[in-house]
Amino acid sequence: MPDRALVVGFGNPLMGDDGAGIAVLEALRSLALPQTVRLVDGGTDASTLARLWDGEPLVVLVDALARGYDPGTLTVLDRLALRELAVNQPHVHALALPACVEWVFLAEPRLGEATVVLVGIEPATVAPTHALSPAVAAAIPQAVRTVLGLLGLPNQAGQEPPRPTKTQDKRSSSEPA
Amino acid sequence: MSGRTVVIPHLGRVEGHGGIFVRIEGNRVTQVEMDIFEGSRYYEALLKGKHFQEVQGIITRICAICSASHTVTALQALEEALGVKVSERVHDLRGLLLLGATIESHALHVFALALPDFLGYESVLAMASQYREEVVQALRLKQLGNKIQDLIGGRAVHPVNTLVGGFGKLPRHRELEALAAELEQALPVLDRFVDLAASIPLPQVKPGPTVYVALRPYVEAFRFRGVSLCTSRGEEYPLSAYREVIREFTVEHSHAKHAALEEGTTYMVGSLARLKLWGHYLTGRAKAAFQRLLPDPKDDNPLLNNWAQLVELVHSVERALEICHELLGQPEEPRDLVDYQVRAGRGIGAIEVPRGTLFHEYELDEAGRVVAANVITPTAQNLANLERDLRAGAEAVLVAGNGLSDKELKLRLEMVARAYDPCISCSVHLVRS
Repeated sequence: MPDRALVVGFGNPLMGDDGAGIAVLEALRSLALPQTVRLVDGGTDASTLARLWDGEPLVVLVDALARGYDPGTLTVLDRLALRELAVNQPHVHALALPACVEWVFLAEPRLGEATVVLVGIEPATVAPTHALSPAVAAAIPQAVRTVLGLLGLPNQAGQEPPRPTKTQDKRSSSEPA
Repeated sequence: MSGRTVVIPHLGRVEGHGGIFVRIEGNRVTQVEMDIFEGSRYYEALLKGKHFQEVQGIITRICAICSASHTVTALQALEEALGVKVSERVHDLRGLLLLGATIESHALHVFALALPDFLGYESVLAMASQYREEVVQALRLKQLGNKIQDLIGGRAVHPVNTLVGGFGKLPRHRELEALAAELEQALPVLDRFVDLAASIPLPQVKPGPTVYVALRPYVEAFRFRGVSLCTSRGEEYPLSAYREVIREFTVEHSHAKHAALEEGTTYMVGSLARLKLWGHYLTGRAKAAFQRLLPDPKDDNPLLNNWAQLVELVHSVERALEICHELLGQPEEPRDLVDYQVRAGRGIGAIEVPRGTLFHEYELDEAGRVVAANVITPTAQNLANLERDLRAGAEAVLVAGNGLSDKELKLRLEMVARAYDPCISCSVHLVRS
C-alpha cells in the first residue's frame, strides 16, 4: 500500500442513500486500519477536499453516485473518468463532486501528483430518512472491501485484498446482506 | 390561443434541486411554478424529543454550506430558552464563524455558480479556459471561509467546538495572526473581482417594487446579529413576533412551504435586502464596492443580489480582519464557557446568514428535551417572491425578443432563480450522471 492514504466519505446520512459514503466511512472506522490511513467525514461539500488533503499519495472518495444502474451497484472511477463526468455534466446539481474535484485540481495542482479514485454507490432512495435502502445497505460491505482493496489492505475476513481497479469505469454488483 | 410550456425539470448550479414550470400564451406568462425540496419540516420532526445538546449535531446536517449559520442560530435560541448569557467575546467569535460561512457561501455562489452565466460559460470549469486565475482565486477565497470555520468551529463543516454557553476551545493568538495575514491578502484579490463585476452589464429584470426584509443590526454598523425585524416599507417588529409577521403557507405545486408578510405581500431576504436596508452602514472597501456595483437604490433587479453578495464578501473579509485584531488585543485564554442549569423554556434565534434571515425556535422541557422546534429558512421566505420575479424575467424576455428560443428563455429563468441563491440543498448532494 502507499505510505499514506486519505479516505473521504461524502453525503448526508439524514437523506437516505445520500449517506452511503458516510456509512462506508463508519464501517471503515470500526476496523483496525493502520495509522497511515486517515478517515474523514467530508459532509456534503466536496470542495473541502482542498483543505482535507495533506499530501497523501492516495485519495479515495466515497459517495452516492446516481448513474441509473441497479441500486447498490458499485462504480469505481479514476481521475480521468471523474474529469469526463465533470466536463460532460456541467449542469448537474450545484457543484457536484466531479466538478468540485476538478475545481480543486485547478487550484491545487500538487493534488495532481496523488492518485484520486471515487468509489460510487448507486442509490435507491434519496429522501428524508435515517435509513439506507436495503439494496444500498447490502452493498456497504462490498464497498468497504473495495476501499480496502484500493488501499492494498486485507479485508475483514483476512482474505487477500481485491486487485486495485485500473479501468476508468468498473462496475461490480453489490452482494446480498 | 396557441401557447407553449417551458419546463426546467432540474435547475443546475443551484444548491440542491429545483424545478421551474412556466406556461406562456402569446407574449403573456400565465403560470409560473417552482418546486423545490426544502427540508426544514423534516428536521423539526427529527429534533422533537432529542436532548438540546443533540440539536447541533442534527441541525448542522441540514447543509454543508450553511452548517455554521444553523449552529449559531440554534445556539442563540437554545441559550434564550435556558436563560444563558454569553460573553461579548463569544458573540465576536460566533460573528467570526458566520463571516467565515458568508465568505465560503458567497465565494461559491458568485464565482462558481453565477459568474459563468454572466460571462457566457456553461460552468465554472468551462470558465477556467479564459479566466483560470479567477477560478483558482475563487476556490482560495472559499477555502479561506472554510479555514475560519475550521479554526473557530473546530472543523470546516459541521462545527463541533461551538457549545451552549460559549466555546470549548478558543483560537490561539498565533492562529489569529496567521488568519489575519491571509485575510489581508484576500482584499486586493476581491478588488479585482469587483472590477470584473463592474465591467459586466446585468440583464434587466424589472419585477416591480420589491419589499425587502432584514434584521436591524444590534449596533449602528453592518452586522449579521440583529435585534428586530425590519422591512423596506419602514415597519419594525420585535423578534418575538416573527410568526405573526411571517406567514408560512403551503402551495399545491411545491414540496416547500412559501412565506409572505401578514397581508400577503411577498418579500425578499438576503444580501440585496441587507444592503437595501443597512448598506449605508458599510465602510472601507465594501462601501466603495457597494457604491460602484449598486449605484441606484431604487433598482429592484433581483440579479443585483449576485453583486450584493460580492459586496458582502468584501465586507466579511474586512470585518473578519477587525475581529481578529480585537481578539488579539485580549489576553489568550483556553476557553470561554459559562455554567448554566437546565430548565424548561422557549427561545428564538434570528440571524442574518448568507442567504437571508434564518429563524430557529425551540421549546424545551425540564430535562432539556426538545418539545417543539420551528425553523424558517431564507429560501422558504424567498420562494414566493422568486416565482414573482421568474414571471417578470420571462415577460421581459418575451417583450424584448420575438421568437426567442426556449433555450434562451430557460437560461434567463435559471439566472433569476440562481440570483436568489436558493439553498435547498444541502440536504441532498449526490453525484448524478
